[in-house]
Amino acid sequence: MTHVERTERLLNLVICLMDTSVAVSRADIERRIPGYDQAASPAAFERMFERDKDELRSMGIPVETVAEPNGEVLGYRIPQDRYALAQLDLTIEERSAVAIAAQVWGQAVVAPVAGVALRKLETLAGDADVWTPADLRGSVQLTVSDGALLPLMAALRQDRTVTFPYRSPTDTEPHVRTVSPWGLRSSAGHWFLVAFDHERSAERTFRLSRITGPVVITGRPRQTPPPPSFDIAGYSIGPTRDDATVQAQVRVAAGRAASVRRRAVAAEGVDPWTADALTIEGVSVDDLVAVICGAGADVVALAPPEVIAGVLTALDQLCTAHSAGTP
Amino acid sequence: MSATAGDRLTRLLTLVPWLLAHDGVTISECAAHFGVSAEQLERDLWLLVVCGVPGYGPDQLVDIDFWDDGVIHVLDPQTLGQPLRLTHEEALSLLVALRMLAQLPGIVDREAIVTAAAKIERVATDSASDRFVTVQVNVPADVTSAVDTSLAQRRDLVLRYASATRDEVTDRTVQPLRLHTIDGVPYLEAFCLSADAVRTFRLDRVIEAHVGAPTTTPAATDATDSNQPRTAMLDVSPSARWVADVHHGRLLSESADGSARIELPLHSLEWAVHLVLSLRGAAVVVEPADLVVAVADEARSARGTYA
Repeated sequence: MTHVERTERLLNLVICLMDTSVAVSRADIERRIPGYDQAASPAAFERMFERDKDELRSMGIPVETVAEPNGEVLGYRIPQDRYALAQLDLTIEERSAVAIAAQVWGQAVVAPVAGVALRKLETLAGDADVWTPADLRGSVQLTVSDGALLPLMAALRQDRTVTFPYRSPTDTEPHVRTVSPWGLRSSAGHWFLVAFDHERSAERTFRLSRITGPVVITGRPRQTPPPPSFDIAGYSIGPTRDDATVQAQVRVAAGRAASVRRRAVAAEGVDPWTADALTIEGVSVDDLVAVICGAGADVVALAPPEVIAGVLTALDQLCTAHSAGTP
Repeated sequence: MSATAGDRLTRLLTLVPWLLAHDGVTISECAAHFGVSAEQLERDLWLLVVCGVPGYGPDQLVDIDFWDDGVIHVLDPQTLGQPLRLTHEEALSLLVALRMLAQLPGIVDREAIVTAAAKIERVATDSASDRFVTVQVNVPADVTSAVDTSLAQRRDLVLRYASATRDEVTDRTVQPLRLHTIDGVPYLEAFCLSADAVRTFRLDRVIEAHVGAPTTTPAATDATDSNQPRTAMLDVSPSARWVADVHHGRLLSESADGSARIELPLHSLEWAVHLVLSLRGAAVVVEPADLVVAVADEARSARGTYA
């Protein structure tokens, strides 16, 4: 069966189910809609119809099952008021804003989806208005090169568990992870998924760029929903300053080492951006050693001893590893 | 694009009400607007006019006239006269973009963005709310408003900037030229009076910004500070493989123990030295030779500050 024939069957099914105020029975659907007569057996028709119904629902079409009080299914229908997009009454300025929003996806996988949304909103507004993108002083581009964003958005809505191959920073091979999505967040251009990881029985954060294959939406409902107070914007991703436990004293060259100055512990009368002696904090000794080494000769660790020792070990290793290139 | 039945059905259901609202549009205009070829659009229209309500008599079919001069008129849409409500993904595609735009400087009518997003949220499912999908541009509001004002009123901008490529903190006076936002990260291109050249600043690295004096000299727009793109090759242990991810590099080869050889865009020598040093030996530079030397020199010089 080719796609064209299936599209025709689906389209006729939609029109038929919208044309009734009561319900259309399975028998009527099988007998009257072209395409279903090609089913080789009653069981084949059932499979075909179930698949079509799922397809329509996954497209957001409200296919309702109409049943007797005793549970006997009478048939199906698509109520027009639930099908149709409600009037949004967007102002001219808001239309400009939406037009630019649909454009910023550029060539990303999401772009065609945004395009359909824009066509629908234009339809509501009628033909009199031209949708001119809002005035911007420059260009804006959102590119989500991987295809994970759309299926994850869908899984969120459907409250489904998903699986995907994921390569954590320390993995050599991708591992298939099974998670219940809680939320999606883009921070400084990077997309993160916060989800409940079923193997680890704990919340985890996943970077979308590390998902190495297709995201599969399973039939299983999301077993572990987010807590009622969940708010992705306030959810901390990775180590944050709140987790800071280790401090170090450092000397910093004037106008240098922005990365170290960022870690300064607030102190009375000290401007971290100009001071030459600072107390900085990190989540571990290794974390502080990395930050201090990164600044090279611009920063000198003064205390504690374990941080100094870590810096010396790392610098010695770096010197040895790169000595071949020096005269 | 090879479309599935669902993709095509979505287009057909969107097309009919759109054509009703845009009566008399031509096939070529409509095809361009929907991002399909004129041939594909004609195939869509031919399919529509053979569909309808069961019985499929002349009055029961979708009726569209599109054979006169390529102009399209919908005569009878049957039940398809209204657009299907926005799917969750459609609503989110607009909301994500609007939530980002609302935080960017250089937006003329921010209020319209916020109210448009609120109206779309009203017709979207609860899982599209900001509680579950959010976009953070990470530029402080006072920096955004200072950049806005300086662009709108053509005034200088006084910046305190934390450069990651040079790992330094500098105070500069710049004349803003334009903004580019890529993947949610806003960059300001400006003529820097201290450097006497055009520079690009990542706005999420601006520590403070103040609006300065009116810009007097017309800012030069032709000079740029872009160099030829270079790359660096590094051998990394498993604990440092994330570097390729975060810095838009790529994997060249890997060995059984998980260590790998990766290639990174080399933004500047100082930036790369800073990165390699912060990896504490988990990454070793293979190429280019000047980076190997720079890392060795800086490590030795840092080592020299300790007794």
